[in-house]
Amino acid sequence: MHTLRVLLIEDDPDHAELIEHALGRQPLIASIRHLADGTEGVRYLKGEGPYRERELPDVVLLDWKLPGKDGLQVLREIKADDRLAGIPVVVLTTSGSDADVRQAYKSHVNSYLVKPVDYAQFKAMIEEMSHYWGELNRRPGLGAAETT
Amino acid sequence: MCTPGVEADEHGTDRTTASRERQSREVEQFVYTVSHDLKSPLVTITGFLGLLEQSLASGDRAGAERAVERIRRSAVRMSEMIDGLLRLSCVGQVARETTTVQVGDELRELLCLYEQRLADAGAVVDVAEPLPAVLANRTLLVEAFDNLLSNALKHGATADGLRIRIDHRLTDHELEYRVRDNGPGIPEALHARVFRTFERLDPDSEGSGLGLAIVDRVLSAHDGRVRVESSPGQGATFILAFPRSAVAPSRHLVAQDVDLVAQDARVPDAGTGNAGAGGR
Repeated sequence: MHTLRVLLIEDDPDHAELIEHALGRQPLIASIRHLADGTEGVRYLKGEGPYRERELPDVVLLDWKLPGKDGLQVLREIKADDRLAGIPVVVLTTSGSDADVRQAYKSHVNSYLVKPVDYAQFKAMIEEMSHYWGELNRRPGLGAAETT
Repeated sequence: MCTPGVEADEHGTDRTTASRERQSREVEQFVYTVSHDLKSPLVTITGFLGLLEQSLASGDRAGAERAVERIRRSAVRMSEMIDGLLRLSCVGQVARETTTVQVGDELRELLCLYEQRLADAGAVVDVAEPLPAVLANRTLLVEAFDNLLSNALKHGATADGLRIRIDHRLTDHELEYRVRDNGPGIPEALHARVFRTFERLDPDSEGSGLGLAIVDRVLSAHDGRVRVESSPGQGATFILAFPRSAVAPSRHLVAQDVDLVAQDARVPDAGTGNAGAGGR
C-alpha cells in the first residue's frame, strides 16, 4: 500500500508543515523528503554532494517561488535530464497567475495546483493529488531500480 | 492615499510613454504580489486554523498553542507585507517632491544611525567624497541608501569582515552612485530577481523582501534605474543611476569640478578602502 515517495521542494516552513501533515495521513505515502530551496532540490535529484545515496522520488511537489533556483528553473532542469524527466512534477503554489501556469506547461510540468486558502479544500486537494499519482496514474519504471 | 502604480501629474495626464509602461509593469507586479505573496500567509493562517480545530477536538493543548502561534506570526507577517506594499505604492507620488540633495551630507547622517550596527558587524564604510548632489526626493534617496546599507549588512559579510565603499561615476548620460561590498556576491542569473517584490534569495535571511524592490521603485520614479554588478566571490556593486540632467549644484563642488571629479571617479576595490565614515 505504501507506494509513493514524495520530494517536497517548498521554502515556506509553515506550508511545508501543512503539506506534510496532510500527506502524512495518507496510507499511500511511503516517505516525504523536504528541501527548502530550489538549488538543493536539483542537487538532491541529481545525486550531487551529500545526496549521492538519495532515493529518487515517485513525484516531486514543487513550489514556484523559491530561493536559489526558482520553481521554473528546477522544473526545466528536471525535464532536461534523461534520468529525471520521467518523474512527475506537480507545481504546488499560491500563484494562480496565467503567465506562471503557461510557463510551467511549456516546460512540461505534469500538473499545476494552486493552494486553496480554505483548509478543508487544501487537505482534500493533497489527498486527491496523492491518490491520483499514487494509485490511478501509471508511472514510468523509475524509482527503486535507479538510484544513481 | 496612494494608488498602486497609478501616477499622473496635477493635470491628470500621464507623463511619458516610458512612464506609462513603467506604471503598467508596476500594476502587473502589484497584482502578482497580491495574488501570490499575500495569499501565502493567508494559506498558513487558514491551514493552522484547521489544525487548531483538530487539536481542540482531540484535547491536544500543545498542538493548539503551536497552531495559535503560527497563526499569530503569519497575521503579523501579512500586516507587515501590506504596510510594505503601501509604502511601495507611495514612492511614485512622493518622488515628485524633489530638492537638491547633498548626498555626502545625507550619507554622513545616515551612517551615524548605522554606527552601532556597523560596529557589531565589524564593518567599515568608506565614502569617496566629495559626491555630487542630485535633484531628487531626499527622503526616498536616503531610504534607498538605507536599504542598500541594510542589504550589505545582511548579505555582504564574509570571514574577512565587511567593507562597503560608496563612490560615484559620471557618464555621458548618467550620474551613478555606487555601493560596493566585498561579500559573497550574486550569480548573474539572479541579478534581476533581487529587485523583485518579496523576493528573498536566501531563505535564512531576515527581512521583508521589499528593501531592494523599494530601491528599484525609487530610482524608476526618478527616471533612473538601479542595477547590480556582481559575480560569486567578487562582492556586489549596487548602482543607483540618475539621468545626467539630475546633477545638481553641490555645496562641495563648483560646477566645473563635477566633471573633474567625474574623470577621477574610478571604482577602487572595496577591499582596499580605508576606514571611513562608518568606522567612526
